[in-house]
Amino acid sequence: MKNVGESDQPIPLPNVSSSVLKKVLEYCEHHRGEPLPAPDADTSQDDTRKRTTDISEWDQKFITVDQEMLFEIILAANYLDIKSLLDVGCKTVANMIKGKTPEEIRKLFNIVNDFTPEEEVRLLALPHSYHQLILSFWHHQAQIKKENEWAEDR
Amino acid sequence: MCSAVNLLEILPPEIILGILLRLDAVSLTRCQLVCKFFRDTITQSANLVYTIELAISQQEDGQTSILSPKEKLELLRNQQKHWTQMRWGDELRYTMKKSGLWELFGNVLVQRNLDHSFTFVQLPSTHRNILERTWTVKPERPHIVRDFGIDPSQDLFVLIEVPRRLRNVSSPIYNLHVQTMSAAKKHPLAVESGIIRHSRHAFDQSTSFSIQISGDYVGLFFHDSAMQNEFIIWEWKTGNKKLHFDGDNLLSFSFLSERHVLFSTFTEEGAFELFIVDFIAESSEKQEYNSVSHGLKLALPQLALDVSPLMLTVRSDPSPHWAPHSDLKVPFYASHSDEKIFVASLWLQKASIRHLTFVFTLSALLPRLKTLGPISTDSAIPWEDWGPQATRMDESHRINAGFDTWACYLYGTKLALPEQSGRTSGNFTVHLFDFNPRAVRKAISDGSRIAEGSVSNIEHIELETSLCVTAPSVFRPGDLFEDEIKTWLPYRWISRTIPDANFSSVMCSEDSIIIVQDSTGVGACYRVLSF
Repeated sequence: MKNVGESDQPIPLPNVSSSVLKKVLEYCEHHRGEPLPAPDADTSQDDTRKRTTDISEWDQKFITVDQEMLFEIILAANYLDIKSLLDVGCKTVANMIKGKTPEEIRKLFNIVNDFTPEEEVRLLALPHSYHQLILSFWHHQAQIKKENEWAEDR
Repeated sequence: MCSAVNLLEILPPEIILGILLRLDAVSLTRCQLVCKFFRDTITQSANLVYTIELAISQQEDGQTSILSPKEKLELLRNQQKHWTQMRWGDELRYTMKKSGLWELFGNVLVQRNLDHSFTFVQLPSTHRNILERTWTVKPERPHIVRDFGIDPSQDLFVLIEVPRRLRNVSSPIYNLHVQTMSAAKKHPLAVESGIIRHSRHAFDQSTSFSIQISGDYVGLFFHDSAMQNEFIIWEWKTGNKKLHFDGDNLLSFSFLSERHVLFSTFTEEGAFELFIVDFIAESSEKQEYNSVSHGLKLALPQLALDVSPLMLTVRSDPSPHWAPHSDLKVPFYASHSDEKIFVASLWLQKASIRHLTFVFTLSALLPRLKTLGPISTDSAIPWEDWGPQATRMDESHRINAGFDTWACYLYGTKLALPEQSGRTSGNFTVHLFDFNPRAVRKAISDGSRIAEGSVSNIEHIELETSLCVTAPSVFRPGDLFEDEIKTWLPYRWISRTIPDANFSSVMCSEDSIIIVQDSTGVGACYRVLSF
């Protein structure tokens, strides 16, 4: 952020539209003077996992935009290397994913289910697929109970 | 919201990875089923696979570890493999001291020596990079220690000093000395005197103690024979009392959460019950447990007419939200916030004395804690409403069931029980039960064998073969209980014979199974089988 402001060289912004740039500048203006995040805050590398998805109140309000704008902001933050904004953007998308089923996630982001029907069946039955593990424990027990009652009824 | 924007077409792979890195294990397992790109991104990232497998094993990441996710994943997989197959690595032996006073908590074994010093052993772990460390300290005072409790994560050592036997003392003083484990000096966070004082109305020479530390709190149970039992929770840093009960109806206790404590009780009506109280909300004045206003009672099955109740004790290890000291820099550690087990030992008298092991889960109790009230007017939650699916009750085949009342034979969701019987061909055998629901599900989906009945009903023990048990444990109507009692809590089980053993009992810690070999007197020792 600091470098962006102090450099004399013009920065080419071929991929950033003016409306997105306006938002990015609004963000930078609000957070001006804040310390830069530590180097390990770079989560594009496969380490230093950020478990927390808490977002400050101002950032939360700032990032409440339509999905297209959200992705544009993330791309711009990535391109301009504004780590704290990239972090807010990724957290926001992560929060949108949380608590949703695979089908809901596809619908939300317009993702095509590219598993073949055979693959999907295999995936569901795959020993190393964890999807069943996350099903509620109680559901599993209710199932056992049902099966048992069914066996007793016969 | 339906948008024409496709996430995958807009965002580059490294940003998608960045988003996935901010997700929890459950969300990740769902993302794996969204599309191939998500699935491949997750399975190719050691960090994300580690997150998922850590959650399945009910563990948390050690934030102070310097290892990479890839290194941690390898350690985690090795650790899980060894526990699942019950294959320990090194065996260490520690001579049993003659004073008879010892404790195992938070992966540290402590014994008192005859010269009144204490020897601590940090138990080692191969897969969590913990080195064995032994140290001895001698507290200046008190000279005579009747019992003690420790918490290695807080370097906390609480010693109980009983009053000298004096006649005509109307209110004898019991002192709790709040010291450090590392040096046996006053704990820096303790009150100035380093002592919490408690006055009782009389002195009972035969009093025994149960002490447990949970975060900021220390719970102390006075088991009396000549007078009434007493139970107190103090905040150990201030010495302030938080809860104070009086009465013989209370039998044992275990901390349940950061603000709840669980008791086993014997009611005025002659039944065993479980009882939970919110000790933060509750008055700190001395009272009968039945008069609390923030409590809850859970009923156990009605006993058959010819069966008399003898004893019910509960325990769990370690205390709620316990985490190892940050100095150990462990890669990961057992998580106790989501799931852990409580084990109750139930002694009943029919023609002979019968002993049952009764396991129930934290997750079964947590939702109930939102609706606490005065227990004198609220009736107990009926057994049928909470018990059958959330618990497992089996008759025990174990050696030395009396050991249950004070030893640490469970840790997190694991339970270790010794057996030497006809069905083990007379061999000293250790059973390991794991009630972690996610691990049971994974074992089943990985193709593990499923038993037809509970392990207690198997006639010949097949050693070193892991089985998943989802079938219920059944008690016939009229045997011990009035009605037919079925309990369904699933578990995974494996057992193994211990070589050169002639032991009396077994304990379980985070990285070890500990054989308590004291029956011969000569060569009495703790054999630590380390994982």
